[in-house]
Amino acid sequence: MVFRAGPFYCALPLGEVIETMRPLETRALAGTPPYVRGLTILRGAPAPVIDMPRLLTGVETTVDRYVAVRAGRGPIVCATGEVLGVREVHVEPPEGPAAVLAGVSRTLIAAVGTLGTEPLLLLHSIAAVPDEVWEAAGQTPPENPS
Amino acid sequence: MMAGRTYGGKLAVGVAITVLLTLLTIAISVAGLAVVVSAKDSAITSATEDLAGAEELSRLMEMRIADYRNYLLDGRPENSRLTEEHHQDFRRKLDELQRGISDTASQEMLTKIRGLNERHAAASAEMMTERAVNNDIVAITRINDTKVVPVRTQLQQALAELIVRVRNDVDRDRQESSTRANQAIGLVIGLGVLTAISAVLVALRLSRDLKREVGAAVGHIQSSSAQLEAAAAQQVNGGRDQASAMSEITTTISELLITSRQIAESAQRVSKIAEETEAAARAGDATIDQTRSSIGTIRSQVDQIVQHMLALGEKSQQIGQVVDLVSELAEQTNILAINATIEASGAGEWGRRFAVVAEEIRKLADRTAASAKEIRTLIEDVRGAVNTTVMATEIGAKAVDAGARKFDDATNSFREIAQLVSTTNDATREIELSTKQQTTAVEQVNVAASDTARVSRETEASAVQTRQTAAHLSTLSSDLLEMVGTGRH
Repeated sequence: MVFRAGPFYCALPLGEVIETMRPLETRALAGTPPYVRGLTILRGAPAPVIDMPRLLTGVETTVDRYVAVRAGRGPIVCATGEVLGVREVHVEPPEGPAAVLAGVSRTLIAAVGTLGTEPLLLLHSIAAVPDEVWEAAGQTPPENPS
Repeated sequence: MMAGRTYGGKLAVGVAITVLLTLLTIAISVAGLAVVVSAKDSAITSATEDLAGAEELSRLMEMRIADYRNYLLDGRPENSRLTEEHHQDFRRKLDELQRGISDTASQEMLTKIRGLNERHAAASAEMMTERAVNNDIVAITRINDTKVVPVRTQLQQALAELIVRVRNDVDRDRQESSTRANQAIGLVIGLGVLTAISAVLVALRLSRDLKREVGAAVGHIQSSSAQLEAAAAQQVNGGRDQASAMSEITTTISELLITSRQIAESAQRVSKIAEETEAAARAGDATIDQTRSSIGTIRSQVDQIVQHMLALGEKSQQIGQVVDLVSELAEQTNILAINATIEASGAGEWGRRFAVVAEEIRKLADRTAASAKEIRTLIEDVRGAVNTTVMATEIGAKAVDAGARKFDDATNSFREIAQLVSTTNDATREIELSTKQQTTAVEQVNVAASDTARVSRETEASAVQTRQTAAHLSTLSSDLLEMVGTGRH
């Protein structure tokens, strides 16, 4: 599933995607990284909300959709831009152009491709949620998310 | 007595004194003449009546004696009768004379004569009676000489004494009247001398005052003549300058007259233009009313446009609400289609077909959302245009209102201008009339200035004549001083 996160197109494997929705009411959390918008109630359970454009680019942009994905200790919500839909994408492994990535980006981005003339980042796992967030959400942190 | 009086007063006083003395002289002369005449009349009366009466008595006595003697000689009754008649005449004359004489001595003498007459008459009557019976003349003569002649002699002597007495009285009256006449003559001569002396004194006093006062007056006249001559000379120069100035004024007034006529013609043209302007203002007033009606119509149309635009805005807003609903549905459909695709991806072959359908649904939803977005954009444009139009229309309405107010102001100004034009027209007519009157006045002034210039020339000529007269008066003053004996100052 392809969506927009700031200047980038991003894609998540359909197996990790639960559903898309409009942005829900989100409550901010203290002591969390800047890319964590806070907590929201997804289908009756609290779920952390990750600001994907801020996570990927460090800048804050408008949020159009929430995308619920499956993580290790439960679903998390990715705040994204416009959701383009389900597409077949062609990417290259991280050893290619994505070799320059490091840190969170390196653990988050599985491969890099293009969509038309725009770059496309294929994300393979959302493990960037700090433990404090999971604890605030009432869940234990994962053993080894990566 | 004459101190402080004018020379005329002094002359009147002197003449009055002289006249009074003259009248006094005349009155005294008349009184003296009356006294003299009375005395002379008395003297003449005594001379004519008393003396003549006495002499008449003597004459009658002589005639009576003659008749008596004739009777004694011839014895005729005629002589007896004449003797008696003359005797009666003697008695009457004696009575008259006794009534007329007032002198006491003469009265006594007449009384004595009356007694002697009676004795003589008795003796004569006795002798005449004797003669009637006796013709002896000698005897009669002898008797007569003894009886009658002595009494006759006494009577004749008494008569002679009476005549002498009366003649003395006449001489005395004559002398008395002559004395009175001489007294009157002396008094008249004295008064005449007094009058003459008074006249001489008055003449001397008047002459002295005449010399002094006339000399002083002539001196003043001489100095005044010199001043008058100088003033006349100045007046000559002034009159000449005035004549020259009046000539210039006349020329200037002529130019002013021409200018006034030009002004009058210009005022007339201005008045005509003002009348045309007033007519145009009245026509403009009707045009203003039509324009005001048009502005009202425009205001009404603008209001209707605003109402229609507001209605269009409301409709656009309703369309926007519908479009928002469509967009909402398209977005929901898009989300549902994506979620359906996600769900379908895990459902095998059937899931992939459903995913294809869901993808088509998502595309339709995207197209619907895009169309709704375009519609929304168009509606926003329409609303913006409507708002812009409404604002512009309101601004236009306000502008129309402002324009209407300004037009009202302009109308008021225009009507005020029309009023002012009417006032200006009236004022222009007044100016025209005043200018015509001014032209007439300037013409009159021109005539008056010409007359004044002529009078100035005449004044100059009169001043020349005055100067000559002043010089002549100065000469005459010198002559007058020489005439009154004062000599030149």
